[in-house]
Amino acid sequence: MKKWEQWKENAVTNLEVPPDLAYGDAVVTITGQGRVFVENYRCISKYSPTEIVILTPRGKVAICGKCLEIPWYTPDEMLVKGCISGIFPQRC
Amino acid sequence: MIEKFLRFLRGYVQICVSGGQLERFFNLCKSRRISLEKICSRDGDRITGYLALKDFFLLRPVRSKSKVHICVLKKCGLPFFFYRNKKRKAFFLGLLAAFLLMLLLSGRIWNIHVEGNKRNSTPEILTFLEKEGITHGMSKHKIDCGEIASLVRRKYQDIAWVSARIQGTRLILTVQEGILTEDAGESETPCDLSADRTGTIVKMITRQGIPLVHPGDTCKEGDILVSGELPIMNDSQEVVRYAYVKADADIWVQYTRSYHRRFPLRHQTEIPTGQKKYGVSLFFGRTYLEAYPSLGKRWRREEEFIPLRITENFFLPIVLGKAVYREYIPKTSVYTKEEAEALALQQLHLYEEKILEKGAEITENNVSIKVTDTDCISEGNLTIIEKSGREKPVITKEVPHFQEQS
Repeated sequence: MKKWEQWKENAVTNLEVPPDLAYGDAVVTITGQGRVFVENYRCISKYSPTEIVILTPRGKVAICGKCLEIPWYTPDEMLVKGCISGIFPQRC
Repeated sequence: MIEKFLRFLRGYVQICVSGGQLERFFNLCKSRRISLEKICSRDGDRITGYLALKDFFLLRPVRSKSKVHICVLKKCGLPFFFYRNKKRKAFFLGLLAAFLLMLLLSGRIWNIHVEGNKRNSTPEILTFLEKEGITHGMSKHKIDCGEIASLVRRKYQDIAWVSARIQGTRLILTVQEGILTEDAGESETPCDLSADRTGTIVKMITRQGIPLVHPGDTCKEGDILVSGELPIMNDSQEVVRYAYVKADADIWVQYTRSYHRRFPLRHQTEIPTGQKKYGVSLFFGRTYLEAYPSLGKRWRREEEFIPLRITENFFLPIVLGKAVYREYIPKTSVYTKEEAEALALQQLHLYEEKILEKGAEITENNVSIKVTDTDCISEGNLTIIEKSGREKPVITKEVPHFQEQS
């Protein structure tokens, strides 16, 4: 299994395929200090005004800050607004 | 903007979700494609968000699974507005009346638009159409676009092509004007060219006819310069008959024009005080109403009229007038020598410009400006070269008797 994953990683690197397409990785885009746009997420693991934890196909992403809001979310994308202090990806 | 409007049309609610598993509630909403917007947390364990009305009714299984408590905070949008105002019968009647009125009025022509016309003005074409019964407010069904196009084409000979079409409540007339050609019969009427002023011929180019004068000759007003009568000779140099043509030539005549202007140095000027007052007036058909302030003699009135119109060319018989009254003080002052000379020179330039506009040329300017104690006098002569030649009907001659016999 490990060999197969290594081979896939090599293939992705050599063929220059974007990782979000190859592994279904989440794409987190930050605009300034107030907006975070998350693509390819799976579900919301935790929601509070100070922390939002989002589950992605290959781990978790924790968005920390103050007065965090979700203006809208769809099955694939999510927008988080508020005073963002940090984004912490966690590998499973 | 359109999304907001559509959301308003469909209706939406603000809900408050508390207790249970909030995260599970979000994920269940996501998997059921229930769109929750503007989610924000209140007091840690409660969240508020906006939801479309149709999605609200899909929340029951989500609520029971996530064990949350949902309460509606606000109801917004058109469905709720109608529900709240269901007892106001007059409002709905008004709405229905407005809808019916719109339906009724949309079957009529409210704007007649003419485009592509330059020589024939839009009001002229509209007046003609009005005479033919095509007016603003008439039913669309009564309009025959083909007939309108043929009517306009028949009336205006210089219009080469007309297209009439109805677009919504607009009747659009697109015209294309052709090139005007002179009437061939009229242009060939035999005539002489006579001098329209006394002077010296400077230059002459004859295209048709027999020149009777040459450059350097003097002519008097009324003298024939180019004759349109051509004698046809036989071999013995005897006149057999006369042919008559339209004399055509470019003749430049040099003449002297005297110039005399005089104006007094003492003059009266009006100095505005800056005081302003306003008045309004209203024309309704033939009725005229005016509201104006009480004023003395030393006030000037400037009035602006605004005709009311519904569409581009559909004017109502109501005209609004706005008058501005400005106070002035008359003051007598005297021009200085420099001022008087500058004014006299300005007058002379204006006079010269008028002459030059006609295509003439000023070769000499002997005007002198004198300033006396009371007046400023500018006098002298201007030598001008100007195109001359006035068409004069030719008098036909009979062929001499002996020549007829031969």
